[in-house]
Amino acid sequence: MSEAAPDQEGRFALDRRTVLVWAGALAAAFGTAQHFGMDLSLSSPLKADGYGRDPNMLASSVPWPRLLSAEQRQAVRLIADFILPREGEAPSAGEVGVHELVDEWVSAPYPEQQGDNALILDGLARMDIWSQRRGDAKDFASADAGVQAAVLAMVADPAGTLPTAPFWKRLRRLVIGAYYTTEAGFADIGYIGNQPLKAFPAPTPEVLAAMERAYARLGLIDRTQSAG
Amino acid sequence: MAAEPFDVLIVGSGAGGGMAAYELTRRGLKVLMLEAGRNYDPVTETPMFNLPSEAPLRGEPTPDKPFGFYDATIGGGWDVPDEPYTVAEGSEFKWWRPRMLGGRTNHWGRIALRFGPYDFKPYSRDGLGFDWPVGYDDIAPWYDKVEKLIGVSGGPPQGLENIPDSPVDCLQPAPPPKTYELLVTRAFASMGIPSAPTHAAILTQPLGDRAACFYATSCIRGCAIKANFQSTTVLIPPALATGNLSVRTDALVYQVDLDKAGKASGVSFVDRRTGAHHSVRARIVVLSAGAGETARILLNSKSTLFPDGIGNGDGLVGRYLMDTVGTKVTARIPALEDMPVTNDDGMSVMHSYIPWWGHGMQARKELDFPRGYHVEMQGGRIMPSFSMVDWIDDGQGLRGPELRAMMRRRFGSTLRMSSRGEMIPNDDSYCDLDPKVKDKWGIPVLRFHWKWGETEIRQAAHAAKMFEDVIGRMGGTIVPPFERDGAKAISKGGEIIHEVGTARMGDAERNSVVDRLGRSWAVRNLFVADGAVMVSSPDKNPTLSILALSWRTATHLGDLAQRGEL
Repeated sequence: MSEAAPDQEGRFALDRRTVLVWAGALAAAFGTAQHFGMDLSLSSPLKADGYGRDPNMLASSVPWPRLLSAEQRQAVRLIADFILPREGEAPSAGEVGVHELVDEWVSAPYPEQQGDNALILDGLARMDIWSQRRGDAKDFASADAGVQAAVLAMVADPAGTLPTAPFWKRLRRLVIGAYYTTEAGFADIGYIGNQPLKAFPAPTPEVLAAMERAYARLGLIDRTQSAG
Repeated sequence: MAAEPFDVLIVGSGAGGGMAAYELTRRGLKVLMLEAGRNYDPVTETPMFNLPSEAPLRGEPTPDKPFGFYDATIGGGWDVPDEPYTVAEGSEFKWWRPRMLGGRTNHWGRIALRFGPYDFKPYSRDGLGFDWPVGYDDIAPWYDKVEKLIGVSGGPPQGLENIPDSPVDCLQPAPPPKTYELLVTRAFASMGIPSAPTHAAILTQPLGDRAACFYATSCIRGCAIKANFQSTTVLIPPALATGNLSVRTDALVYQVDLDKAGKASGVSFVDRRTGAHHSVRARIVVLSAGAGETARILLNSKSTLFPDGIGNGDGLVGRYLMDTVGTKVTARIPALEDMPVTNDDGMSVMHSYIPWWGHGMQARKELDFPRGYHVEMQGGRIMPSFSMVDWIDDGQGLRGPELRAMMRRRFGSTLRMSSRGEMIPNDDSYCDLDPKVKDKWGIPVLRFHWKWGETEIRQAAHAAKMFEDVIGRMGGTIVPPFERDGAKAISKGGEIIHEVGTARMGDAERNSVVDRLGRSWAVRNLFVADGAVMVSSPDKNPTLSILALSWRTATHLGDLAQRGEL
């Protein structure tokens, strides 16, 4: 089978060499074009309970067991750090434990999370397969850095025509959401609330000046005095 | 617990029940309050300042907690285990029910607007819907009392049409606007549309033993410092302090019991923990279970005298069910990216809003819908959540430094606007008893029937068009999904959680379930003190009016009881 075998819709003519190489490898691994419809059947039904309608909100706990293997958790950590690596004072996504949240998320017994479980475990399995085909590693997490980089570049391709595109979109959303809902994320993004104040401050002259510039640029003239 | 029979038995502990208990216990009447949910204490149970990272799934919504982990809704949500309701074929309706002391006052939005003079006489103005048997001037003194008691901020007066100002001694000052509100209100002002300070049941100054708001940690969680209004912090504690109030929780009332003369003798309830059925006696019964549950109790109170339920001889119980018309839009506003970093938490409700501006246009027949809406907003540099990330992210799949730069630049530049509009009651929107389905304890459940009228759908389309216009003026872009088609943009019935009007008040038994003071026509020692009595559902959020009407009803009831006339 040629490296550039098209999929059912015949839209496999991506211009990125890496993608072609790895799509070919995947096709070879599974023999025919049906690989894009494959069901890896990796996610087991979740029978755990949720936190219920009356959880302790002051000292909460997560009642369901976590399902990701150490290798899968490590894979998610690598992916998280790929999406949000450390930058100056801002820690990487892995450093703030985003992969732990992803594990908690895909293990949760709620419909949305169970849907994500199927999508994410499927995507991680495909990344393992691609890593195996590229090198001798048994999975993505233990592949060498070059293989990991190649697989990540393929999966994260914004053109997004690979079968992993929904997986990537979803996992990326979880990683970003999980990161910016931590205190490190707050600091990075400039959220300075959740602090008790004696009074709510009036807009500062600096804010008012910036606002006046915006009004002028947008042509926003106050017409409340002239219209009824 | 005082011995039976109690003077007054109140079903429900939210705005209606809490207010009635406050008034009646102060008068020395012995009151038993029955609440279907568990006991709840905001002072010890509110997750003040808790972070998303301390909650399961970062506090994101789940079926167990549809408004997020920290929402002060316990035991329920869009469904309550063991207590189903049904929706008739072809209808869509959602019913939000907690099972906790204080009911929905624990998590509500705290927007506390008075209904205006037009809102009580809508039929007289445009020939649609129905007039109330009372007018604004009848209720205004009760609004005054409620605002002073519970603490409402939002002064000073604005002088806007049909948006009543309060006497100067009623409202606490409004806080200054949040940064993003300056731009939104200016964009509306550029169309000649004024904004106003939100009237919010949130203190900006201390009141009694209650602290002023410290502008952090969302009101939807409840408030341990009692800076906002909850029945559990403002009404029930003083009622308990009189020594005249007994509270029984986990008591799901399903029936008003009658004596041989057809007077109410008490109620029957199920203890939700044990499943045991109980009856309790009182001289007077007040239903404040919420419009849905109050209707269900009346409909389930069947006897030879009332084979179709109390007050339902003309089929009026459950009728004229209304909710608020809701639409929403989310937008990114690049102009806000340039603003200095500010703490935009403030009150968790917006400090400024856009009252309905179109009375003049409607009078001149320039609009194709008869009733108005107001615009609420949320935005700025608020505590990040997954949905906020969705609003900021642009689908380009950025990562690394480019992703961080985009997040930093756009944080604070997203906002959501929502319309909240009046619904005209119609014959297709009501609730009755499901002929087959019963709850865990064998009690017939409510079945909802729902259809928005064309007027509501046209109003929703107008709001969508306005939002596009305003966002355009701000140079912003709409974040999908967004609907222009009013039929698609409009909220589902019940979704705004303002269901009212199932046992409406009136001046004659043939067209109403209770009289103008909330007293049942059919059973004269039975009163309704909740949103069920409402005759119309204006754009103004209903809680303040439920409080005012309940206080008025309780006062009347207390007068009658103390004169020996009940």
